[in-house]
Amino acid sequence: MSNKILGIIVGLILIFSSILVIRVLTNDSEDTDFSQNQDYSPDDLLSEIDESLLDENGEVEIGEMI
Amino acid sequence: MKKMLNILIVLILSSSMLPLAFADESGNTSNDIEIDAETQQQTEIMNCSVGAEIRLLQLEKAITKNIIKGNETVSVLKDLDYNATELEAILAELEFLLWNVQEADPNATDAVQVFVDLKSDAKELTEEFKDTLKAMLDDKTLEGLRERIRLMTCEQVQNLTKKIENRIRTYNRNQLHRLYGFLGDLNNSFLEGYETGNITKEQVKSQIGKIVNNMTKEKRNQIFSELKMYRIRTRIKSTVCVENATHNFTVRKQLRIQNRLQYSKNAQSPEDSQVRSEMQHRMENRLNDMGSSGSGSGNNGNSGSGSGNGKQNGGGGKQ
Repeated sequence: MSNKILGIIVGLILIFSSILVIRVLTNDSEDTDFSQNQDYSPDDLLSEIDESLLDENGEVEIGEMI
Repeated sequence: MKKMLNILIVLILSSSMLPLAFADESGNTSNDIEIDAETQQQTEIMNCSVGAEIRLLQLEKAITKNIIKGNETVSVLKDLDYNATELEAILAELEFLLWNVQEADPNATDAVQVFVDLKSDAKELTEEFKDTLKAMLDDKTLEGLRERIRLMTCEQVQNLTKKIENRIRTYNRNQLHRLYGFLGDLNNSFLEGYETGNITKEQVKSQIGKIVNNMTKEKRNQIFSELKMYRIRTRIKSTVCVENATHNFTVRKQLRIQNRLQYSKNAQSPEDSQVRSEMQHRMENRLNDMGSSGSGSGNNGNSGSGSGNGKQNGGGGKQ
């Protein structure tokens, strides 16, 4: 009986720690999607440059009155 | 056996703490709000005063456009013998808000917070106007009105458009100056040409494209990394500012309404007394709602618009 309970407890500990480890690893991979060692094409760089510039006709939307 | 039971209880308690590991770290309370992704993205350029000025001017333009359209709508409704007092009261509030935006200081440390607050007010009042009008008119009349005001513009809006375009060119010029620094090919006359409007953004991009295409792989990777790092740093700064703006949002909102109410009671406003009393009634109702929900009661030290310019709490200035 006590072996069974012990087994359940160990099982639970394993499940919880796996969830936590997976969670931490997923967070890390989300934050580091850009790596220094990767090669970038001219298009990649131009698109990055484009993103740093503002659209001259850009607007702040607050909705329509009608 | 008793020991096992104790361990089991401890485990159950620990597992109940598990959701905390997944919880949002922002620790939102009833006084805070979630800021939408679009607004968050708009604040990314507000780390510099030109960027902050651009966003405040764009907000001013959006509110001005809506006031013009709202006034035209009210005028049409009055011609049709509708009672438009409630709509006029909303427009009077939008006028107060416009003054607040015009007075906001883009150099203030809390410029992001002011932008977030005033944009939220503008969206709310616009939505209220729309809902009130929808309850008054049928779909066909609404469609006719929508068509009538769709392309409405005025000199005030055109001037704002020009001013915004100029400021955006200055902002882009600063960005390009930094970029040309990375490229090692700084051409000041080209940049000045862009800022003054003699060279278009497309021409600048085409010139940069030529430089990029002739670049070595290593140089390209290096510049890409520099730009990416700059953008990440900017985003982090902006996220911190937006995070600060979410705290005590309701308390600040309550204070803004109180100040506008006070101002409308003291000032000699141009609108007629019926509209003014309707506007005050609306503000008082909102304050009561906020008070009864308990959201505004917990003033924990950060009331008002913060320490920067403090102007947005003023009734907004035209005496």
